[in-house]
Amino acid sequence: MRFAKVHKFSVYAVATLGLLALASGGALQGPIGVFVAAGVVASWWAEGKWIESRGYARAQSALLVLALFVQVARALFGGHGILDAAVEFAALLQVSRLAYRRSAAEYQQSTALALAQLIAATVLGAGLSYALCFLGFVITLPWALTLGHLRREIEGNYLADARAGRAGVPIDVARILRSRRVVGPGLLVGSSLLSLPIFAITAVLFVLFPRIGLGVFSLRQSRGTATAGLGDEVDLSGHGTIRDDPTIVLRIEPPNLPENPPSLRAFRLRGAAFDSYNGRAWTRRSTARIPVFREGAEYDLHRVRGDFLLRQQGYRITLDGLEPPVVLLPPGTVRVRVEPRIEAGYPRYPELSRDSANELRYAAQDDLGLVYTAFVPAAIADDLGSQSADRATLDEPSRQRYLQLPAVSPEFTALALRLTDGHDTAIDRARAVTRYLRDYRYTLTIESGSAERPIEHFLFRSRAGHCEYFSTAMALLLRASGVPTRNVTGFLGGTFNRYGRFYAIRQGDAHSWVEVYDERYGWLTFDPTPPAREPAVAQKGLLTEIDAVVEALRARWRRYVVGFDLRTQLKLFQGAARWFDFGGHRSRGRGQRGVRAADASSADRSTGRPSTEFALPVFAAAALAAGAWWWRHRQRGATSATSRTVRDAMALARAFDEAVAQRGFSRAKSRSLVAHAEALVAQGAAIGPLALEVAERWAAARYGEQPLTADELDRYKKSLATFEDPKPRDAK
Amino acid sequence: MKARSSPRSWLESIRRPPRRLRFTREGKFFTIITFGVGVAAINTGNNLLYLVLGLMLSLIVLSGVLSELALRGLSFRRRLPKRAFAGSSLLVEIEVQNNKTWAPSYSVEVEDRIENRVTDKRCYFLKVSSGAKQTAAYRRVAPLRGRERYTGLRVATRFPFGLFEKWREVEIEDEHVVFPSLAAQADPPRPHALTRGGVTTRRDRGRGDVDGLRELRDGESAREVDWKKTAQSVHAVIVRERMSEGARVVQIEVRNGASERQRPGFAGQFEEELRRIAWRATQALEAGALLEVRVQDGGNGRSAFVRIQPGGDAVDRALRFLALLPPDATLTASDASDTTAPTKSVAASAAQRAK
Repeated sequence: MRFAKVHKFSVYAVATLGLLALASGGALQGPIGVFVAAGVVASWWAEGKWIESRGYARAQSALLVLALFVQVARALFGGHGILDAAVEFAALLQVSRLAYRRSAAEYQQSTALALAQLIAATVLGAGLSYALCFLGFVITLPWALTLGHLRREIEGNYLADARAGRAGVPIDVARILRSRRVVGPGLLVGSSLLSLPIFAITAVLFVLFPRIGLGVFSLRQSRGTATAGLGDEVDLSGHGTIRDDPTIVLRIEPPNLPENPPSLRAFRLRGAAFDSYNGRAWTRRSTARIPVFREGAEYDLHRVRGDFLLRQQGYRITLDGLEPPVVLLPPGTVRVRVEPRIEAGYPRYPELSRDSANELRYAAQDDLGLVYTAFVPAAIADDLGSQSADRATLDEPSRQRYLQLPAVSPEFTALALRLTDGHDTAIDRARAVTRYLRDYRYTLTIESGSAERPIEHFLFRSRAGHCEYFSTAMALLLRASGVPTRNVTGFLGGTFNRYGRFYAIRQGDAHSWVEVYDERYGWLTFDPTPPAREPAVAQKGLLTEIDAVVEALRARWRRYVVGFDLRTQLKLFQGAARWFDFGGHRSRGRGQRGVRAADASSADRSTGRPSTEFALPVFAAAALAAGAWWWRHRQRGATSATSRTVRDAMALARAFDEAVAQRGFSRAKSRSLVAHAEALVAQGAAIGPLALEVAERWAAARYGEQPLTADELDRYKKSLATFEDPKPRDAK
Repeated sequence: MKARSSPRSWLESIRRPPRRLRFTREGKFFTIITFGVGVAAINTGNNLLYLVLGLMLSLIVLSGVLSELALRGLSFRRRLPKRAFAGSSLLVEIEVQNNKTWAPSYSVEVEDRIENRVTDKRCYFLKVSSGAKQTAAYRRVAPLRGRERYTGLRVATRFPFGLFEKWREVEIEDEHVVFPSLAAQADPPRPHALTRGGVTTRRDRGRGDVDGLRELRDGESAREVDWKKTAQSVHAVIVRERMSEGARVVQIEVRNGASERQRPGFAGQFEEELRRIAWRATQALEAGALLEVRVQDGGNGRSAFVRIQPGGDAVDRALRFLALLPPDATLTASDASDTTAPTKSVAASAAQRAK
């Protein structure tokens, strides 16, 4: 391939990856993102003579200055974040550089800018898309840097030579850049293979760097995924397209997962609760929050009796950063164990707080979410989704809050009374309403959204709606019959990922249901939405499999890269230390107690340590490799020693020739050193004896395998150089 | 290369390591940014920054390994021009051979050193394929006549990323004599040099006494071949040199010493004179005259003498003699009519080397 084309391609690849890394963090959205994308594409053809024109350069500079002013103005007066404005300007700068590629310098600036964007993107987002961009960088950055360096050298050396007239023939730089011989498959494959050691070294350094995390100054933004239903208001007139949104909200790892778990499982995860309905939307009347007591890593949510406490099941939940930062929990969760971040060597636990409706939130510092284990009493866990551990008694003001009703028609009240007539307890009334609503149709078409009273339209006209209509209708019907209720939003669903062995809960699993207060049992969960809402069968196919793999990768990326901290690091090192210590462990066992040897072997197997059957071949291979390396090194050493001997002998011969020639006894090439020295002795030349000594030593070194030492060589050279002839006759 | 067995050699290797490194401008920026990313990573605990830090450090590590690979397995050869005149540009060729069996060397820059001084004259080799040779040349102007000793090469590379420049010194010694520049002139003799022209009637190379033996040169007739000596020497064809009978003789007398009174400014005048003499000697030899140069020390009256037969490389020998003639030398040799006799004088040594 032509040098210039390969170089251009590599720089564009790096620049595009830099911009994608920014975009993956949520930057460059909207018109500016479109403009940047279009600019990058258009700049591909911006080359040749017309970019050399002064007008083009001026226009380009003017546009860049204008962009700078616009971004500064947006940051100062437009309510645009400074970081966002800077990131967008960096993207525009990249477009500018790509559109003005005149020499190696511009290409190198583009590469440097892309690297800076990759760095900037670390504070914007931490998703799998960043991982892909990073991987792309690992592969393409060596290309761009290597070719950029070569191009700079070509331009710097050959053009400079041509200008200075140093070279005999002027070199056509353009011809070299068009050449197919400079960048052959070897260089491309070689620089591609560089990504392997780069990846390996990066991985090793990543693991080895101590995770201190001083936390003095951080630009990291809290930019969680906006999640429907978890905000301060739930409006019945619209639900967006979340039903089909595959974005994962959390991953749940239930306890006692069987070898082949079901593909679909309905995990109910409670998020927000609302007490006030104004006829169109749910809101909260009480927003006061109180912190949750923490003991170590555990947060107690409800006090439970002893046997209840003993039989708990832990659900490990990896929650993505949500907006608002709600902690999603299975109903009945009595305590939460949070996996802390390590900062400055110490674990840092987030502050959890809850409101009167038991909506739990955490103080989010960034968009990295939360990893925690929710403990649910086994009795509830067996029937997740219908019970609650919230047994708080309601005081009168709270009761009134949960009985609040908007203006309703007499028809509505009549229906409520008719449905609950004959049922004394709240549970019975709730069951009656649920049964009634099960005859309604689930639909995503908002048929009642535009009505003045959407719920009444839903109940008496359309008889169809989505989960929020069902839950709202139930909550209001029960309130009308005197039962305190609250509308709860969260998620219901779960698709098993066999690659990551977790259940994924997606945005599309967002759901709404009702909590009913019963004097005996406290708050109980009821879900009036017909079962038709849930998908009946798990999706299958190649795309689903790919999606599962990507999700598993995302989970691992999050767990092992983004979530890698000092604690994990220490565990890793301890594991490595145990791994390397297994030999000593065995020998100690043998030495102390003979029986221990067999125990140790079985212990090795049980703890996953490598057994000797595995380790011995590894060590043998390592020893063989080391031996081969040593032998090769020795061979090379012998070769270099031989060449050194020859070089030293030649240096001595040169010193000999110079010395005798200076005294008028030049040696013919056909005569050997020894023969010449003997002739000098025979002639009676003063230098003869020394020459003979040197010549004989030379012969011994050159042909007698008696290498000269550095001192010897120096001494002979000095003797020859400083030899003084006897004083000659004076001139006449 | 010296054997590194003695403590002195070991100390020398410590003092002058085989490879040296310096940052390029881009490398400085890259290192500063890497440092900044490291600080930011430690501060924030952001694992993505650790990842980027690992990437940047791995680029630095690889840069060191690959630049080493580029410099390894290379051998060099310098080719000097046959004739070089002071004040005129000369072309020096550098040949690089890549002895590696599979890896090409990219972006190798070779800088010549004269008397251990960097010349700022470089040859750039973009790619030297494995097992291949490449030659590049640079021009330079030798400022002065005399012996020039090329002591080594500075072989450098900024490959692969241009972040660092790694170099090593290669000891490769060469020497050549820069002839004095020729100053054309038609004036009569100058104060410090005397040129006398003899009269010639005929040239006859086939007659006269044998003046010496030498190797047969390209283009010469085989009539004067001494077959007996040729048989003894095995590798060379030896011819007899004879004195030209009745050939035109040009005698040049050079006074390279000065009295106390003449000494101020003498060196400059002497160099100027030498340029004129060189031109005159060249003219004479090219015209087929026998050249006799007598060096007369103005200080103590001692002298040296060289006689150069025309033909072959006579001009080079004469110029070489003049190139190596130092000003204000103390002559200790007697008037040496036989130029083959060894003397200790500097001028006479120059005469011998000129042969």
